[in-house]
Order: sequence, then structure tokens, then C-alpha cells
Amino acid sequence: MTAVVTAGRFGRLLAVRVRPNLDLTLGIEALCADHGVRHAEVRAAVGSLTDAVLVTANGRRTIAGPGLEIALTAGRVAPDESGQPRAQLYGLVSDGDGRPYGGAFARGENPVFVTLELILQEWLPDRQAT
Amino acid sequence: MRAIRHPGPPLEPRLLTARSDTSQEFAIELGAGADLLATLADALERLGVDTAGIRFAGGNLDRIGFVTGVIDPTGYRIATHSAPAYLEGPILLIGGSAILGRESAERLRLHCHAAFVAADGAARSGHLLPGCCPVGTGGARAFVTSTGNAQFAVVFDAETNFPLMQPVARA
Repeated sequence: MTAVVTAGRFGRLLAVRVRPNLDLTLGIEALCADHGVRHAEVRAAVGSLTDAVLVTANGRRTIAGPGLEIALTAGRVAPDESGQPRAQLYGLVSDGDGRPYGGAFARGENPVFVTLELILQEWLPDRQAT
Repeated sequence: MRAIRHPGPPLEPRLLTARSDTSQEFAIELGAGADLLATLADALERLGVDTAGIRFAGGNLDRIGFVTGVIDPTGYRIATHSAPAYLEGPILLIGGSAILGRESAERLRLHCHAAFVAADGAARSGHLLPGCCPVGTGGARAFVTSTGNAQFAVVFDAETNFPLMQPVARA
């Protein structure tokens, strides 16, 4: 099996502001838990982080801020083994000189600096197509 | 994970949310000569959309103006924007996100962070400035999700001393 395709549709949409010092990933997970959202996709996210910890194939990298701009965020939320929403987020942040750094956002280690504006949308899987 | 102390008292709730059961999807192509952000905001306003999430899907710019985050030397805020940087094209817009919201009854705000490759071949990213990013030959593309009953509106935030976009339920 090289691909699993799941048909589905988008459901409820959440417009969100995350205040300072809350972790990006934990904030999204808490939001989904509060609203009973099991699966979701990040549709857009703009904001800043105090510092960033990004994970790549080469390991973990800490980018010291404060004031790293989040230029790109992609990711999804899906339930873990216990049914709790877990977010896996990937993206690009830039430092004060505009230098970009990319990777997966380490859970619990990417605090919002001033604000994060986020649009998250529920994904409602219908069935596994193949 | 360190916590930053902003000038004002921490405000609750830490997660502000507005929910909508409806949304719409749009694909937008911007032609050469259009300003990336202003033309996009105008096009959405003409469709009656004042709040949306936008994902850029590549493009070409003749010029780019952007800022980054720096410490506020006055202490009024913990941070501010750097002096604007302007780069001449060709600029390749790789991708980015933007949030469209209502700044006032007459005016929309488009908050955009994006990544791009400049004419010197170096990748950079930052906060793009409206009116400073003319689209070049080949155009630029974006996908838009409008937010139905959930609106972003600019509100003065007494914790950070910034006017920031916050979600509100549309009346």
C-alpha cells in the first residue's frame, strides 16, 4: 500500500487569535478539544513566535528570537490513540534579518510572541476511497 | 519555552475564537502591474468578503517591500517592525499566508507574511507591505477561504499595545 485516499469535506470554520506565550501546537490542540473537532486543517496562519524549535531530518534546531515572523504554516489535526486531537504543523519562520528557517514545529516549544491569527477548518472524512 | 512579559496585564481568554458553519473558496489570479495585497483586498471586497484566510500559490513580483520584527527601543511595546526593506525584482514569491479583516467601517486590513527568492538568489521572508509589491510578468496566484459568520476585526490590545485583528461573531 503506497497511498491511502480518504474522501471528505470541510466542516465548521474557526477564526482564532492566540495570545502571547501560548504554544502554537498546544493552542491548536486545545482549541479543537474545546470545540469537539477531531480532524482539521490549517487554512491560514499569520503571526510571530518568541523563539522557535524546528525539527528536520538533521535534528532539532532552536532559532532564538524574540520576534520570529511565521511566513508559512501547513498542517493538520487528527486524533491520537486516545482520541485526543493532535496537531502536526510544519512551516517557515524568519528572523530579524529576514532569514528563513523551515521544519516541523516541536510540540510545546513554539510560544506565540505578540499574536497568531489563524483560520482552522474542520475536516470531515466520509470514507476511505482506496 | 520562555514567556515574554508584555507592557500590559495578561488578558483572558488566551484563545479567542469565532465559529462559522459556512465558508466559501475562491481562486484568484493577479496580473502584471497589480499590487499584490491591495488588488487582492479590493477584489475580495467587491465580492462582499471582508474576512478571509489566504494562501499564496506562487508568483512573480517586480519589487517587494517588507519588514521584520525587532525589539521596540522605546519600551512602549515589546516589539515593533523594522525599517522597511525594498528589493528590486525579479522576485519569486514562493508562498505565504495572509489574514483579511476589517480595520474600520471603511477600511480592510490584510496582514501578510510570505517567503520569496530575491534577484540575488537568496531566500527571505517577512511581513509584506501593502502598496509596495507590484506583480510582474507571469502574475501571482492565491487561494482564499472566506469565513462566513466569523469576522476578524482590528481591536486595540491593551496587553501588547498593538491594534490587532481579533475574531468576533458577525452580527
